[in-house]
Amino acid sequence: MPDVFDELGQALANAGASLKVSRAPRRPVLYDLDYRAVVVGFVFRATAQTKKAAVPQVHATWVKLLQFIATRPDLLTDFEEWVKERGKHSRTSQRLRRGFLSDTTFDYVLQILVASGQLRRVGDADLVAGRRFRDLDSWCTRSIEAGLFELERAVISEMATVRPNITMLMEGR
Amino acid sequence: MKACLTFVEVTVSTSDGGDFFGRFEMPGGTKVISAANRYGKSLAVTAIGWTLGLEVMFGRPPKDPSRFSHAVRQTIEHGEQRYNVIASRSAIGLQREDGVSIRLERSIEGGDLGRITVTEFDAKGLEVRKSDLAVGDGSMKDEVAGFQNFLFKWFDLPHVPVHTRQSMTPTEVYWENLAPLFLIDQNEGWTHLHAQQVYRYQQTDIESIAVEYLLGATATVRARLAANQEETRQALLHEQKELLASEIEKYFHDKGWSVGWSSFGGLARVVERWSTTGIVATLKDKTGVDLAERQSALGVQAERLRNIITSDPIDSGRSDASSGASQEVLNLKSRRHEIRDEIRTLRLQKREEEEILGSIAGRLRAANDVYRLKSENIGRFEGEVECPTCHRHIAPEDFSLTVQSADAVDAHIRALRNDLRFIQSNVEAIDGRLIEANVESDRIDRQLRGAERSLATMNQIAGSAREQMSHATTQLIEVEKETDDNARTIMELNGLQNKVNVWVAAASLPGVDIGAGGDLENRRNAFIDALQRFLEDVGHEGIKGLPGDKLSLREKYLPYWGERRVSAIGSASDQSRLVMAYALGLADASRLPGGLHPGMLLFDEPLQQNPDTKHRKLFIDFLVKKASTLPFQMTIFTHLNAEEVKALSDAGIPIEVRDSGRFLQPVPKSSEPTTKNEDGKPAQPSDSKDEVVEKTSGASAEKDVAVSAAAEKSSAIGHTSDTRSDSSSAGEENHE
Repeated sequence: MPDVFDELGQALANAGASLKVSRAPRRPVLYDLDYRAVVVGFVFRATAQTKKAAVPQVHATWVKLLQFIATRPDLLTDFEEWVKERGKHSRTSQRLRRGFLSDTTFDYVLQILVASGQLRRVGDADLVAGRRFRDLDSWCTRSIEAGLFELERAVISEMATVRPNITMLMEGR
Repeated sequence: MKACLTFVEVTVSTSDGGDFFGRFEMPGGTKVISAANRYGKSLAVTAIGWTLGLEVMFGRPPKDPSRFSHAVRQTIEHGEQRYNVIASRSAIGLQREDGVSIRLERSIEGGDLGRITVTEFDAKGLEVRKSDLAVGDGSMKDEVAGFQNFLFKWFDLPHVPVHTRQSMTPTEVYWENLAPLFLIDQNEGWTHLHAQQVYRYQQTDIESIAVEYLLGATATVRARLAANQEETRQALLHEQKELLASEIEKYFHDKGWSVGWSSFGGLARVVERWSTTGIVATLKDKTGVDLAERQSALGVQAERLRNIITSDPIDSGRSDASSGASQEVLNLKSRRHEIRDEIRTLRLQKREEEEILGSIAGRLRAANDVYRLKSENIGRFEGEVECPTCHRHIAPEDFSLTVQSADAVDAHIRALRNDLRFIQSNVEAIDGRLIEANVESDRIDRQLRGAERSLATMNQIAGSAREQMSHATTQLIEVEKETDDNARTIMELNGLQNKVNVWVAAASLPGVDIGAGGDLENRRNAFIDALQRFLEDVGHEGIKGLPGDKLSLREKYLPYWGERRVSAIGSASDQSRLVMAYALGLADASRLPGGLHPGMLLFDEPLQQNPDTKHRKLFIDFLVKKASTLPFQMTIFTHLNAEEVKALSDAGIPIEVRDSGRFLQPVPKSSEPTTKNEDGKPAQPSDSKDEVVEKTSGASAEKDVAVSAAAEKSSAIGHTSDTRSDSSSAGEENHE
């Protein structure tokens, strides 16, 4: 991977300027596995329901959407508008859908959670608790007790009251 | 000056049943008065507080006798009869260690409740003076007729100013601030230390001050005042600087100058800053606005325009006045368009920056939580990850994911904070420019209106000369208007600068000299020693159960045993033992030279709080072992059983038992057969040999001689006739 600072330094040197980098760039916590996993845990706890199935389950796309907005609370108002405009072709819907689809980080996190036994895929697109879900569950509980991620949990709690329809879930595919 | 209480009397006059009278004698040293419930002990204790002008200590306004029962204010019952009270009064005697004594007398009903009659006697018992003194507000300051003023003089207590929460003007330590530490009332006094302290005068730290005063640490009390005054002065200066800075910044803001006038920092720092640079200089430095220079330029411009109008030759060939006015309107409109455009852009930028600010704040919040998640080991992804199909190990990095360390997240947080600060400073800069642009827009609007008026006038004028005159006149009006505005601004800025100068001068004054705190440490240590001794003597179980710890005094002089507050350890009955030991310890520690405790203690019903056998036994044991050795007066009103009375009598503790009858007895008419006691006073139930057990130790018997002399002086109240009441039938009245 080319070093962007080297390239930038070179370009500046050509222009007679110098580049001084005092620290290495830091990756945002948005790409941190621990953060994303615990948010997925919150979403699963808030949305997985026992209906026809024997164990609580939730549609993976719905989890993807909720965790996407929970980690970006500014989008909650767009989501709410989208919910109001279900079935209509509005700009809000388009804007949210594009960002939502490109969140591949969630796909990777989910693969790891499934591979590690925290969650399990069932059927076409549903998720249920895996054999080691207890680890993720207790992790979420401890976070709540410590008062962490209040904003994310508040957003999830707000969104969990919405009943997703097929259109919303299909848009996520 | 130490003193002792020598007697308490209550007299009630009725409309149809004659007079009723009750009296307790109190020799110096210890005296236990044991009487059954409903006898009238509380009446006697209430009378002591009332006659000392202490009603506010019991939560009453001055001159309010409502703490007394109706027996002394409305109706007294005797046998089957009820008599209407027409007048009642209480009296007490006080005797100093130099032999000088006083008799205090105060009406309860039917007289002036706001006055106390003081009869003074010399050491030989001869009446020296009699005066009527006022109680209540102002009685401390009134050197001629104020009761508190007299009492402080008589006890040789100094007037010590103390700080109040209400104003910078100090008030004083009053008698009712001191009495709660030596007069323990049965209703509230035993509940906790300082339970009956009086707060109505708003004295700061009055609980501590009362203790320090009685210990004799008046220098400490004075130092407290100085420290409080300095603290108040500084708080006031801080408040003033905040108000002043905000007034100046608002002025700058209203004028469209984005300049700060910071009040940040301590007084010394702000004084230095505000005295170094003035407001006008700051304005010039930060915005380039030089009002004096502008005023001067306007003066030159006005002069030139006046000359055009009045004396300069008019070039009738010039035709540029009209086009000049037209051009000016165009220029101003163009400028107005630019400035409005800039305002729109600034508002848009501000909204975007604020959105970014909100986003960074959200990310910062999430990052902080992730940091805690990792650093406090709340959770961490530790699962063994294996591909379900190929069974090879999967690392998060394979998916462009990271498991960041707490340090890495911390570094990210720092970077986010930098971003936050950067965006915040952007928003502030945009705000500043918006203020300037809005004010400039207003100014351009005004100028444009003027220019349009000028152009409209010129369009109606025929002839170049008139056009030039008209243009110059319009310009002169605008210049003069701006000159006036500028002059007003200079004047207002000078006014603000004067306020700053006044504040700087006040803040530069040397602070109040707090001075040394005197010899508090010695007195405090003496109090700690005495308190610990008395806590052990009265059998405080809480500290006994925690050996090895030390006693200390902390906030409000509340005692701590090790790290625990003494009032919070031990059994429920330990609370009253603590209160008693505290009062005793304070009186004892005040024996150091300069101590100001009056030397008398009064305990009203110390056993009432907990009547269990163990508590009573500890109390009796304390009296048996220690009461006769106390170097000050201790009077106890209580009710003891026969065994307890015997124990005290055997130990030589002076005890007076009144187990039947009532405190107030009818005073027989002079024609009735009478019985008199040894002092020639009306006989009390205590004189009846089958009802009274009175034992007096040799030491206190000597004191009784002095007391009886003082008691004889009570003849002024008019009840020294040789009478003897029938105690077996007297007193069905409710005195409690």
